[in-house]
Amino acid sequence: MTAHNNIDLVQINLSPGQNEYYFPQNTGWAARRVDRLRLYLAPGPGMASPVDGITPVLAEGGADNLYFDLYDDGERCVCRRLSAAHLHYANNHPPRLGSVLSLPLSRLYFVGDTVPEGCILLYAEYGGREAGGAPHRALSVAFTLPPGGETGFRPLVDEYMHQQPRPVRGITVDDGGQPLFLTLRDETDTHVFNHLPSSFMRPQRQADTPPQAQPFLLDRVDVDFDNSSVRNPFADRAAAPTITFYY
Amino acid sequence: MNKKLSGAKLLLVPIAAMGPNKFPYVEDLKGRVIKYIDFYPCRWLPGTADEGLATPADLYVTLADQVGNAYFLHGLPLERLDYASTCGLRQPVGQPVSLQNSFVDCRNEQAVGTTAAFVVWYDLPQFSARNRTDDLLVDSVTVPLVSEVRHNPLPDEERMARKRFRHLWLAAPSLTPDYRAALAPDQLKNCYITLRKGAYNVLDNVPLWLFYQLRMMDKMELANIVFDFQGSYITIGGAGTLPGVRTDYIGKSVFFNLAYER
Repeated sequence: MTAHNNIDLVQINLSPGQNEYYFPQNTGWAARRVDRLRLYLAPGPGMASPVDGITPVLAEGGADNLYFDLYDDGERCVCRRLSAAHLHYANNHPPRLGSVLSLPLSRLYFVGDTVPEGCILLYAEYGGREAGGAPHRALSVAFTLPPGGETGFRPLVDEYMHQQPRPVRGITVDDGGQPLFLTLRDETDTHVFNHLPSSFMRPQRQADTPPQAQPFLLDRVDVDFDNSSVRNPFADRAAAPTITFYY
Repeated sequence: MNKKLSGAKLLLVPIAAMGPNKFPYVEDLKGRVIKYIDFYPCRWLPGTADEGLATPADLYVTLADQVGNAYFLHGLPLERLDYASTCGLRQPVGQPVSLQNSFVDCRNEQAVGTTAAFVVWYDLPQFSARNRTDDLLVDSVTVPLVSEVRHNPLPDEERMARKRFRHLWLAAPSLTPDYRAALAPDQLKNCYITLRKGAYNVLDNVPLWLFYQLRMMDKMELANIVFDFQGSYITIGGAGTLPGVRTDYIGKSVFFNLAYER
């Protein structure tokens, strides 16, 4: 199992009538060896992008005819006509890329006359390492988020001052089927975890997601609780999640 | 046991009566180490109009080993061998099996008269190899369906000739990248793939749906198998008797991705 060090979000906004999109050039992982790409799709309509809070996220079913052509920095095609289904976050074993991607050449494209509206959320994992054993301790916090609301981690863990989880080695989020977005910052500012969907971190007992063997693992991240946050992307419903930190 | 898969063969076991129904003897599997056996619940089977066993309730599998014919796996419920319902967590076999002394014990009258389909995964070192590298390239194959009775050949993809394949990933788009209509998931469940190297079927009539692994806990990895695109094919189950096959299957395509060593 991989202990994650960096997962960065790329948002690609879809335009009516345009089938083909190239990767944006100004990503933080442009020259980094990408381990995996994960595609996140909203469970239904009404989810806003965690980046701007407005653009609707492409829902399940909208990426059935989406394909990727990925090139590495040597201009070699590493993935030709890869179905987006294999990059879906629910795939327990997505393709391992292990390449520095050529962003000007890599593209994604829809096949067919109908191009959905909204945006695509693509997550690039890089710098991960093999996890060295399972964490032994855990701290769970339950809280509520109003519609469209956001909270930092500090208020959640303040009452546990004497047993604050650090370094954090894993996270699970029991979101009750309503996805949230987490942004993690670390004390040394060396890790990147931007707008991660809680669907990546659901515990095993969730019925609508594939079973996961263990928590979403982090590579001993010294989480900055003052600057990390969790956000409810739905403007019409509140959320009552439980986050478990493993350390 | 090394979980990588190299050879596979589809075996059809007629459930002729209540009680034990023996597996057929297969010369190619004699002495081979069997890794896994999958039960595939499907009404439409390749090359035959016989009704396939679709529900595994109240059927049990017993496997005999080659030495002394002792039953090392006795009375295992058939559901335990269904790859999809176990989320990919297969029951390992890991030894040669005396197929002619193994049987399916039928305790369900509804199942009599049907044919149970099993995929036997076995060691085939002649057409597989160890990993040389972790660098894989991913490509795609689109197979147009032209016949409901005969073989539907794979396209001759020169750029993938002589490659060592580690994954076959099946998705279920409605359109392939070259704008052909693709089969729906329920239709893909009635298709079978044969990958051939020379005169030998490396994967022989393996249900295509077994390669749909998006929500499986345990991944299925091929042992860098080699095969020829020329001579490999896809078969539609039912031997032409599947209702609506000419209108709903012929003219459409099957799409999948292949990952191979760089």
